[in-house]
Amino acid sequence: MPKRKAAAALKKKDEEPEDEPQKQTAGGGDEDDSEDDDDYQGEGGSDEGGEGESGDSDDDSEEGEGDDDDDEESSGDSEDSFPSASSDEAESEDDEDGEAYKEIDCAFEFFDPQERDYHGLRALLGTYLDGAAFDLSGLCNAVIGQSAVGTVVKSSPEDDPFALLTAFNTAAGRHTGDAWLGELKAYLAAGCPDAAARAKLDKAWSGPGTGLLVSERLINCPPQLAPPLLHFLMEEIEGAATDPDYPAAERSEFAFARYLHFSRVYCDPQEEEEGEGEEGGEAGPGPSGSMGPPPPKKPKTAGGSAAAGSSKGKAAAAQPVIVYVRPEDEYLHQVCAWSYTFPVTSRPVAKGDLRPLRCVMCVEAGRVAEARAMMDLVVGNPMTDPAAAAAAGAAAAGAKQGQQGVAAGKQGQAKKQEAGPAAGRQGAKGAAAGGGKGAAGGGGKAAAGQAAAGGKGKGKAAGGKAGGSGR
Amino acid sequence: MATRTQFENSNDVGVFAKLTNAYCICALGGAENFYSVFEAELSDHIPVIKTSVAGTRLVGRLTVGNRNGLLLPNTTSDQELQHIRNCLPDEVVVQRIDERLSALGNCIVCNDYVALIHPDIDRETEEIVADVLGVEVFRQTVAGNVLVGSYAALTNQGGLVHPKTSIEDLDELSSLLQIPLVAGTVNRGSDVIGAGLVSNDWAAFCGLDTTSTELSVIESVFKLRDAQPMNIVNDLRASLIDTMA
Repeated sequence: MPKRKAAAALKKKDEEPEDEPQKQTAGGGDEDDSEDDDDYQGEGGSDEGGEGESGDSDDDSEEGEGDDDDDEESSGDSEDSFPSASSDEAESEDDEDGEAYKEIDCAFEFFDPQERDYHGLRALLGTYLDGAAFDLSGLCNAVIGQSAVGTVVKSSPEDDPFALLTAFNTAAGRHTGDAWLGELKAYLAAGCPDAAARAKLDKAWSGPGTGLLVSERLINCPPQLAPPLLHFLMEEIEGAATDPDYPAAERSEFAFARYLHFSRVYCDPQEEEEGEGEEGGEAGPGPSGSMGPPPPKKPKTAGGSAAAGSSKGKAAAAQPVIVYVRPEDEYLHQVCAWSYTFPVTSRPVAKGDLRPLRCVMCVEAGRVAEARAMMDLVVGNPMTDPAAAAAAGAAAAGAKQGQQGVAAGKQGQAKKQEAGPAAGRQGAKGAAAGGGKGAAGGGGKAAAGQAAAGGKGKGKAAGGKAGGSGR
Repeated sequence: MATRTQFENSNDVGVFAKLTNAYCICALGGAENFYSVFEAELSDHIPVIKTSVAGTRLVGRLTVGNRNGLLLPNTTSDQELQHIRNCLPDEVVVQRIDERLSALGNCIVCNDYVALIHPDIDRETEEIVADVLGVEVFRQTVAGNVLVGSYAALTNQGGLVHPKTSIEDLDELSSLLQIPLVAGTVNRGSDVIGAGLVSNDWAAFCGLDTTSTELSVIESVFKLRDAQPMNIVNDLRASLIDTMA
């Protein structure tokens, strides 16, 4: 049974008494452990899926199955129950019954990629290169093997992932020689519209400190998934890069100076008639390299409609407009250093439908926060809710701790529970989060690794835990 | 001899191919790799044909057959039916049947002597199966799953079933089918055995992700080690003919 029933009182209790979402509080710190492939099971999460959690219950119970004893933290950490309760943000779908726009509450939980996700990741990433054959198994192995950085979104630990976000070092990481990385680069390079773009890609790819973001999502995932995903990613990257418990080589692998973001966007074919299509747009100097002068915000926002999720609104602007279905794409595109798009030719597109494109953009690391801030304004970030306010960024350990206690795990202190680690590690290590790096006491990677090796999910955290609450 | 292969990045070989002791049917695929792997291994002994079924590439899941016959769903087009009839040897009876559960490969699993069928299959279809394929038919489930064709793979030598099959079920099925059965996985932990591999008495093909443990289980239960087509003949010969002096 979940140890921490801290937030139980806060949450409206669901049917299952024992499944209350455990607030991260106790465990808080353990994220670290959990990060190593622990299966953070939010029991609350699973039943939350069905029941509408009331407002505060964003955080699903941290406890993973069976990790009563050791993993409180892990459970809490890794999951961040999407705050659907309060805001009923679950997608509104029109029912087949004809009850239009009845809202359904869904809980999304955030986990580290684990071996159990292997087949789900294969399904999700199968078309990552739009039908081009590549070493899919290698990519999935790499995603799963990289315990420090990477997040999958599932509705319960047993489900297949809906969404994935992770980052790999392109030139100097442990995957440098892998077949899939080469095939990925070749695919990106093949889409370059001209030699200048090609040169920029090559330079960025081979430069030290470049992180390739691997991001894939089911169609029509709610846009509200993006801010927490990015939050976790950045937290983990920062943690991995700065955590002294990690060996120096690994830290430098994640010290990213820029990110290559490879994503899916659409363009409105009506604009094609204007002459300037989206496809193969030159890599221009500005963010909208492929679009000539950046389109006015309004139509783009209307089109992109980050807030509305995947809206395929027809932009009325006379210029070709990129329609973004993932909210982070729009804002990253605005702050990127260069970008280009190329069309997806592998599937037929009905006349009048939006044309699918792949967009490659290079974003300097320093500007990611800007993009995230803009996105959070529009989409809302449960991680930065008042309760979770302290959790965002590299909050002070003390603050985390305080918050931890108070919040009673409400806030999705999911994977990267700063509070936990901070508490465990005593030394407020700034953005300690980093996935489960070293339990207090400097087990560090070894402990983490060991914990990871111990087996995914519950109970492993024991190794990592510094004892005490959840850590 | 078990071989690892892939159909266009998919490890589910049993979806895109159907392998029996008398013929092999492959799907039309983008890359010729898949077909050529089968050809290399099998074409000396049995015909290997490429076709679609019902306009799809899911030949393994839509059809069921053994060395006596082949059954096709009612959605098979006339051209496909004719093409298959032309390519297969005359001994193999090819028949298109009308069955509501048209994914025959998922609902029926068989070797040359026995077949397991989905509990809800029509009685008429059951009779056709017994007739055309020349098998004894049993309505059974595998690990509580009605899709027997998806969760079991059978040859005359042995069978592999869903990993969660209980010991009692294994014993029961084994005595029904009169072959040794093993509960295991294929393609790195996938429990959909029927979709993950194809096998006949001397060859098996599974996905690239199959671990060596899984592969050795497959080779051992289907008795594929050192199994060459001629070995079967030689083994039989040894048991049939006494040498004198």
